[in-house]
Amino acid sequence: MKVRVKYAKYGVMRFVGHLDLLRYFQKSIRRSGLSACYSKGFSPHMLISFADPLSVGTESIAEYFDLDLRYRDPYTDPDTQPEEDDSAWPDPPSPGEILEKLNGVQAEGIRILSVTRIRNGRKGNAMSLVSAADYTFSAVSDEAKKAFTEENIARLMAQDAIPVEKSGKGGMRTVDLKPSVYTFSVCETDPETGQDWELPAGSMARLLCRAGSKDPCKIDLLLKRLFEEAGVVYTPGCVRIRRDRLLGGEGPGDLISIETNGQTW
Amino acid sequence: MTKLALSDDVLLQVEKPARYIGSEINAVYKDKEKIGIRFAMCFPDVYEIGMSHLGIQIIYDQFNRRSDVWCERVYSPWPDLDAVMRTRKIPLFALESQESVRDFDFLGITIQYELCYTNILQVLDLSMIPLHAEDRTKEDPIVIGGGPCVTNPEPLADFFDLFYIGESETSYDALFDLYLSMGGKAGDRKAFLREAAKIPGIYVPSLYEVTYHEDGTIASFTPRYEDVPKTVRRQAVTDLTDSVYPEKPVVPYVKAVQEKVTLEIMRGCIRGCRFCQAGMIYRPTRERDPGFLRKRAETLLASTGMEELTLSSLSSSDYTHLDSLLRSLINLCNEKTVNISLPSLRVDRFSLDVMSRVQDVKKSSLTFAPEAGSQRLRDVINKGITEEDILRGCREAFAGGWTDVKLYFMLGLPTETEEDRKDIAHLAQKITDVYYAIPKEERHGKCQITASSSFFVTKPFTPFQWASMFDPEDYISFAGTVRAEMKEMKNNRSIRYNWHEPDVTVIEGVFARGDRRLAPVIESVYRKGGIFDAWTDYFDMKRWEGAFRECGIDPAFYTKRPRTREEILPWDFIDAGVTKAFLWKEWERAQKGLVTANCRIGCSGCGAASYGCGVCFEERNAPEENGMAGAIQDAAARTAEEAE
Repeated sequence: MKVRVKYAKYGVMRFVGHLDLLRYFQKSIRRSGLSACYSKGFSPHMLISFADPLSVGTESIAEYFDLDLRYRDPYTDPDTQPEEDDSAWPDPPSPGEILEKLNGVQAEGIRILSVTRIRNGRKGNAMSLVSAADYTFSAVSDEAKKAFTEENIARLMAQDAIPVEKSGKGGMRTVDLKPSVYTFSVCETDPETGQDWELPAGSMARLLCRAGSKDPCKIDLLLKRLFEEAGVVYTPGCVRIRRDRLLGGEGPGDLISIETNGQTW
Repeated sequence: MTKLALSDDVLLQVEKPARYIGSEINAVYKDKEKIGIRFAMCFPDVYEIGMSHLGIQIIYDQFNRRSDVWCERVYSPWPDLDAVMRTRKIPLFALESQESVRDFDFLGITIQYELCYTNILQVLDLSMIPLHAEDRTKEDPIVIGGGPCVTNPEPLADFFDLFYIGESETSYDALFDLYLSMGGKAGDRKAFLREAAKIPGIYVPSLYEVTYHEDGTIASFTPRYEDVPKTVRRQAVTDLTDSVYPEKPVVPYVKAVQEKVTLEIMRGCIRGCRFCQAGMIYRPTRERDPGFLRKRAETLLASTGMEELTLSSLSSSDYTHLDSLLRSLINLCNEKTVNISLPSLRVDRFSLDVMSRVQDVKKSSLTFAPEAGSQRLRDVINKGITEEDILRGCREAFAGGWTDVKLYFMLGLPTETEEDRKDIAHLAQKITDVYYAIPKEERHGKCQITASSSFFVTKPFTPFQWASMFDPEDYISFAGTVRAEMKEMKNNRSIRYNWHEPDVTVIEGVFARGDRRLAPVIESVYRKGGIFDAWTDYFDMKRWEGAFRECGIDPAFYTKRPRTREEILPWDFIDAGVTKAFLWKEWERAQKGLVTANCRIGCSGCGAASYGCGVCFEERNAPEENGMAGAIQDAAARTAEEAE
């Protein structure tokens, strides 16, 4: 059976990089006692795939991975046969049981938020669905608070283009971030007030932008640009960043949750 | 929620910030209000190296089993963070509590290799602890050194309050109990050290006085007070069968160099290679129970979720129950989809069969450590492996589908000649001959023989402790001889040769057999910015040469001077089981090219039996009527034969 797991990464875990997190989850699944599927061959690896990697330092309450578990698939779907004959495998645990088992073995700073059964097969994996994301920012340094004002953000958004220097394979090149920014505005309070991942209040902003593999918005470059416009220096760590939603769909007018997108039974 | 010692802006400007956040799975957290002793256990190298070390895992587990002790971990901040901590005056902290090391009761530092000595000073300095033990006060922790290098702690004597010599399992409880009974951190530091010196295995360097002859050798090494023992007994666990062993080791976030479950199957080695310090100081050989290991493997895999399991010992092939242990572990690992990686096993039919079952033959290579190219020199170093053993192993491996062979050698060994060096190339050629003797249609393309040589460093408590070493130029010429001879070989296209840097060899050699007068050199290198000297990118020979000059020290005094039997060696005050008389006898036998039998064939009376355990008390397999004496005679006869 295949499941999509949604989790939060917050607190000290924000300093754990994507590749380290990948290995962390493989180990935590092994500790949970759940039985995962592995690839064949001499060095088998767990069949797990992650959606859009998160930058070091950024927190999130909307991370996803898809996982193949070694239990009989509870659904029969003529279009998507399991990759292996699973008829002799054990009965599937419920999503609730899986969630509980996983949460029993996580470190402080990782919490499993939901587990959803999804179709077998490679099509429609979490990564390929991502097209947009939602972020909340909280300025922590005094410099950063100067940049995070309604006027500064409005001035940046009023421009026809937001050109930034981006380093890539062929050296530095200029890209325009404007088309990847859907909405960007200051906000008064954190919608996640009271949660472990609540950000310091005072000077906050929210961003809805393009994400995923196709021309995603470069968050750090966008913030750097905002700071430049405001005449202050952007340094890593002066803004706390939290990703609040990962979305699929065609664009600003057509955004859907990744969490339910895979489930089309 | 955990409060970090470093702010976001610091963590986001350094490489791999997860090195510094603690909070890993199985990290131990305690209520500090209910704790009598806070212990900071430091491995003075970067996190990924330190987290791969089994000894620290054992100590962390052992200390934290005590409800009145909270043991936390400390590693060296990488140079990027080091610079930030200095400019911003951020004190070094322990990973779990994220609190300043200076506020701890103890700072324990494991000393694994000579090139980390500058990192020890880095850790003390960043912790804002005075570098010299004599300058420390109630405000500072008691700084303890341990690990293999404290087999000769003298070059570090000025920097440590005390050294714990030997295995941690035996005397730490007594040390902690004493500390608590004497008032803990508020107690009288000097009085505590004086009392601690009476605990077996504890060496307090400030309580000993050293005088020197005019020629620079040691004239006397004596306790300053009558109640301080003259010798310090190296500690060893007598019963290892099912002694304490971690069940829940810490699982790092950042990928450690060795990220696997490690089962320590035994300590000590029966072999008696004359260059090998571990083979001497961990005597006698003691084994763990295979049933215990099998159960512990299962617990460890469940508690860590690791994907790989390996065995640890100095010579796994000599573990009595290896066959049954591997069988049960392979079954366990298959069931749990865990890789099992095999430690260096003697290459024979059994090990090849095991290897082909657990790894992809096409991708893996076989490793031999002949250490010397000629049989003569292998006898000198007492490496109990013959050319025929190697060629037979290779023949069987090639038949099993392997094509890659790695060979490890040392250059600069005592009595070594030009011919011995050239024989390294000849041995490589003979192995390729074995391969190309296989009919072409049965071969898998070309074979690849990779020979590597390091330069021999003379270590204390080995029969070679009296031997002299060479200059970097000599080492380069030795390697040059091997390389030139390699090029002459018929199958040189199937042979690759590489060698290590000679400069670090000399530095290691100086400190391995150094004395107290070397402390200023370490400090001078550190003051000039030397840290992470074990890393090629950070090692700077010029800095070391400058420091020697500045301190008026001639490194050749330590490396190139042959010692006499009468000379007082800086580590003579340690009783490590093996006696000086035995080591000297072995040194003489080495020069005659006489081999000495391993512990199971016959006891050679090294002195380790004084620990009252292990292989020294095993029942011998020798025929009843002959008994142990017979086995020794057999070995002696074989030695005589081989000597001719």
